[in-house]
Amino acid sequence: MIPALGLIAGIVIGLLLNPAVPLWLQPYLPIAVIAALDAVFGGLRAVLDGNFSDKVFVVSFLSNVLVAALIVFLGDQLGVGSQLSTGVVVVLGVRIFSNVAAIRRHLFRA
Amino acid sequence: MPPPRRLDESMSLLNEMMQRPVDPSYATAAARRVARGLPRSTSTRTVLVFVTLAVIGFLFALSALNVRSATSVAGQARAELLDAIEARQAQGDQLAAQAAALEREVAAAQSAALGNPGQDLLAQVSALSVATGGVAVSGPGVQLTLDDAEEAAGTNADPRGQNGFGTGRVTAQDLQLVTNGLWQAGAEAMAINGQRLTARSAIRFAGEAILVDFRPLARPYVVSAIGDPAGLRARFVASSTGSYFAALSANYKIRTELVTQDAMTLPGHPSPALRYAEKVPTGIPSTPTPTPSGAASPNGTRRATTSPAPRPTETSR
Repeated sequence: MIPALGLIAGIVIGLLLNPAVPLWLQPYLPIAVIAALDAVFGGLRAVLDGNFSDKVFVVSFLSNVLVAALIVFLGDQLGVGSQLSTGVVVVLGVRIFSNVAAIRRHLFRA
Repeated sequence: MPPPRRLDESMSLLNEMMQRPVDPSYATAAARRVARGLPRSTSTRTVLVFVTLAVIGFLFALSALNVRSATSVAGQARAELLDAIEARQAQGDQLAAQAAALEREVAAAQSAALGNPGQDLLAQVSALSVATGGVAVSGPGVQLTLDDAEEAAGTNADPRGQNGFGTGRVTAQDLQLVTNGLWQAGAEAMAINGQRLTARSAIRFAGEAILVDFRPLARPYVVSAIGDPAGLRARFVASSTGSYFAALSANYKIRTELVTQDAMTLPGHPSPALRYAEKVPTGIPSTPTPTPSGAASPNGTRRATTSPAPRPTETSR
């Protein structure tokens, strides 16, 4: 309940403030969203598995976002930014899918 | 003896990705807590979790707003260009209105200066300005409408270009031929989409738009010509331009229409001034003066209305 409230509070704050995203930050936004989704589903699965740890959750979120941003930044500098972004999205996407599959198995036994 | 090599060892990356999607650190942290005698799982109701999820939600909202407003770099540049175009168009309209007002002032000053004895001159001036297109005129005539073929409308393909696409689009040359044909058929005044044609008007292509006197036209293209409606129509249809006009719709599916009008009003063109041409002083014997090539018109009074030759500084097709 509390985590869901936190998520909703964040969304509401973002919608109300509607801050302008600086231009240099824009390419990192989609990647950061994917990394955050991965962290959220990983945490949810851990809760259902019964081995959730708040510290691990926070660290995994921060490191996911940082590493994903670093990879995109490196790719931009090397001129292969879009390809590396695709790579990040594929890897995180696979993780999200298998985590969601595990969550589904927990919730519906199917 | 070393342990036997696993069959799928070369695919360890894929196996790692597919089979252990969740962070292994969750399991190790749980094992550590169990070893210390704590429960396997910590509570999810901690400040740390709340703050992290708030940050994540903020991130979601941020990206959702960014995607929705489509404020990509290209979108911003496009919006700026549109603003600039609209500002310049408004400026142009304002200047045109100013020019028209000054034109009226000049006419008033002219009549005031000439006074009563100059009424003959004034009559002459007004008669001439009908011919030069300097004043608005009204009268019966024909109206000729050209529009791109159904399938070509809205496309940006080259009109009748080498690649064969977009053959159904109206070109500047079509309008040039049609207007010249109408002059030949006896039109006394003409306008395209409300742009009065004068002796110095030009119908040209710029990129994909047709310009008349450097003003872009939007389709459909309506050519209004004042003259004897029945005679004008009959002569135009019978002329070679008339058959060209018919061929446009027959061969290229260009939508054309030719109707007679009982009354039309054509606007005047604000700048009939000649900048370089000067009147030859009387008294000089009328020797044959050299005429520039191509400038001679067949009947002397009728001018080459449309100049297909582009200005050197402008790109034209």
